[in-house]
Amino acid sequence: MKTRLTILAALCLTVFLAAVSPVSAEESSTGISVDGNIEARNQSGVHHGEVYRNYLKADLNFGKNFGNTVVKVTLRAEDDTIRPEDNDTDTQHLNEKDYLRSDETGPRRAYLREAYISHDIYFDSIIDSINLKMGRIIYTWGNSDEVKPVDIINPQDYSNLYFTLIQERKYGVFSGSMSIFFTENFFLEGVVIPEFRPSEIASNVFVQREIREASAAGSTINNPNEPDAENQENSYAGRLGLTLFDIDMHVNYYYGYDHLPAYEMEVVTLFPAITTAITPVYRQVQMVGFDFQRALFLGISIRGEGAYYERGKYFKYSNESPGGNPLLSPSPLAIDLSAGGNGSVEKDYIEYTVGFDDNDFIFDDLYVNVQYHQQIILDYEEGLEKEQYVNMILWNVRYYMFNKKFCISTRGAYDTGDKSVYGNAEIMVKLADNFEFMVGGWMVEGRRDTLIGQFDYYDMVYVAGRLTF
Amino acid sequence: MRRSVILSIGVCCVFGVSGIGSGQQLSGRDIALKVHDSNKSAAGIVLKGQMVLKNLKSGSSESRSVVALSVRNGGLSKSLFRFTDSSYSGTTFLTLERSGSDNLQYLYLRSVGSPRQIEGSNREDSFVDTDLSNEDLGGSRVDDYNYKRLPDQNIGGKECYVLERYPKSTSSNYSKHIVIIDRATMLPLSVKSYGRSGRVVKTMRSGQFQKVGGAIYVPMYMKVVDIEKKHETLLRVKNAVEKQINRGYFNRNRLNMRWAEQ
Repeated sequence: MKTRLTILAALCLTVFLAAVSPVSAEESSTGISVDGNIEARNQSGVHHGEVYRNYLKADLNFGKNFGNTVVKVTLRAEDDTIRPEDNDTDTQHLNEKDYLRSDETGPRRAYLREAYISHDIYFDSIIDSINLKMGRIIYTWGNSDEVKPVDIINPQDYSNLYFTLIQERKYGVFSGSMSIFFTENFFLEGVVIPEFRPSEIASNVFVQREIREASAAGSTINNPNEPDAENQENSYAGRLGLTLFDIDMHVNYYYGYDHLPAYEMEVVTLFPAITTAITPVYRQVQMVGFDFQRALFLGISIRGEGAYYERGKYFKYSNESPGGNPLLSPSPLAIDLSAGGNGSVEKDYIEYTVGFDDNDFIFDDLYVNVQYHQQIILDYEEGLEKEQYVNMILWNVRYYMFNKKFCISTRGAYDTGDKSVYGNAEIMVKLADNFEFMVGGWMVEGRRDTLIGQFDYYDMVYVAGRLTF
Repeated sequence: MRRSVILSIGVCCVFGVSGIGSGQQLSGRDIALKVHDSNKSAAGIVLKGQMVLKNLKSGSSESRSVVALSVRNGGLSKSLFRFTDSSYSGTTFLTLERSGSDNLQYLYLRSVGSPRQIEGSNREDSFVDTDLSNEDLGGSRVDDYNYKRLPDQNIGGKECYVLERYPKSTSSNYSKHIVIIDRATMLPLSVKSYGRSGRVVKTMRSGQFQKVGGAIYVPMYMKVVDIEKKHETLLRVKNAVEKQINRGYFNRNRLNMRWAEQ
């Protein structure tokens, strides 16, 4: 009840500010700038009502300058029916919809999405400036779009999967950063993250197949083993940015907690049936990445990014029996568990995304962005559930009309290995300079045992409005 | 639309130290170079204003707040342009002038989160939904055109140079531009852009030149009209000052951050 009142108060405040501020982002007499947006969205399934989501969000951004010190605060209030009710947080074991949620639980919530103090020291020398920043920060690393292998500093909210854009999915992490800008072509950034926040998978709609199956098989899903409870350690990140031969590039490094867990399994009972307990464990990963972009010719730009994980990536063994009869030929998972393993194995891992885009492809105002994404498990061994290679083609095409007041678009991804696809078509009308209205749909196709195809029955249509002030 | 008014000054390139001569013997290119080198500041210029976009067919209009920063370093200019409200709030455009090669330009959109390098052939494209082109925001170079000087004119009591200039690029949407430049301030008073058909397709007018700092002049208003689209963009500068600007702002890696001058 208290949360609901907080949300309502935040939304009322936002609507009030939007209504009384004809010139938005105008600084008040105290010098504090206020802007933000309100979004309302309904998603409905087209088959049997599997998807139902009413989503109301308000972002409030406050900014204030004190000389070379800048303060920024973003408050977010959400009422999102796709997020499970906060019922079971005190229990030891989770149900499948509650699986992996963070402290900001429940369908109605208000929280500090991003807030930091930033201070600049600048010079008239080879170093242009040094920026120090501390607070809850959202980082954007890398140069590709939706699938970003090096953009791993922030946890994300996957309750609506990839149907919510990555920039909207991110949570700020408490961190401190220092950036040194050497001319406009070179810079260094270091980040320290003295907290751990997991990504959230809890969803009323998009429950992962492996969790559904584990639950159906009677497995126990334990509460996640989070670093906070035992061995919290700082995470560290750094990057070096350089422009050389008109190629913008970064070398990225991250050593810290993965925001998605590895799964540790153990056998609970052997008779009368084999049951297991699954404990999500957050491991520390070490990633070295590289990203680049360059404008070429005829309006075409190429961009991409890749990440190599030297440690911390675990892959589950398959629970499918090679011969079809688990008594005669046990599955790799059963073999590993019976040998005292935990059902997964650590492997070096690479993923990268490369592609091109053009703002005026063939004719004016047609934006085309095509990217290729590949995941590779190094030192692969037979019996792992995940294929050694995952290949995907991603697209994002938009056509603007009437001076960008009207836009038709499509985006999505096609997995060339298991031939599954998710895709979107949308019509956006800009009814006013600060108000957009959108109608669209998502289509998901593929075998039920695939990463994308598991949501084959979750085709949906949606209608949304976004007011910016 | 691959169209441009080719303002020379651009919105952000109205700054600098002027070295204005008598000008009778100057060629068209010499005058273009003078315009390019005039009204620039080594410390920095900050402009704050309001941009009004108007649909001339329907009469509807939209208003946005803008902030522009510019600095000149080692004879090369850097400029930033940002919307600070509306659905385009945070949209930022960075131009880095380079000697001997095309200027580097980056567009930052809040929804994308990282800056996008703009390809040279997109210079004549509109900057988001305005009538300003990427080139107007500092993307053009003197050497992108051939120049022809026309007889000087007196317009509204101002002695003016008149230039015709022709894009060297065969893919340009324009056949020529006629630029009228105020001799006293070296700021363009007007630009008429002719399409391949030979008709005027776009115009720019600026005025209310105000002295900022030493010998730097800034147009306090500028209106660009796209005649074919029947759309106009009016920029009114409310505040223009010369001040020391943090040069770190002009690094593409920090286009997502708020400026102290905002």
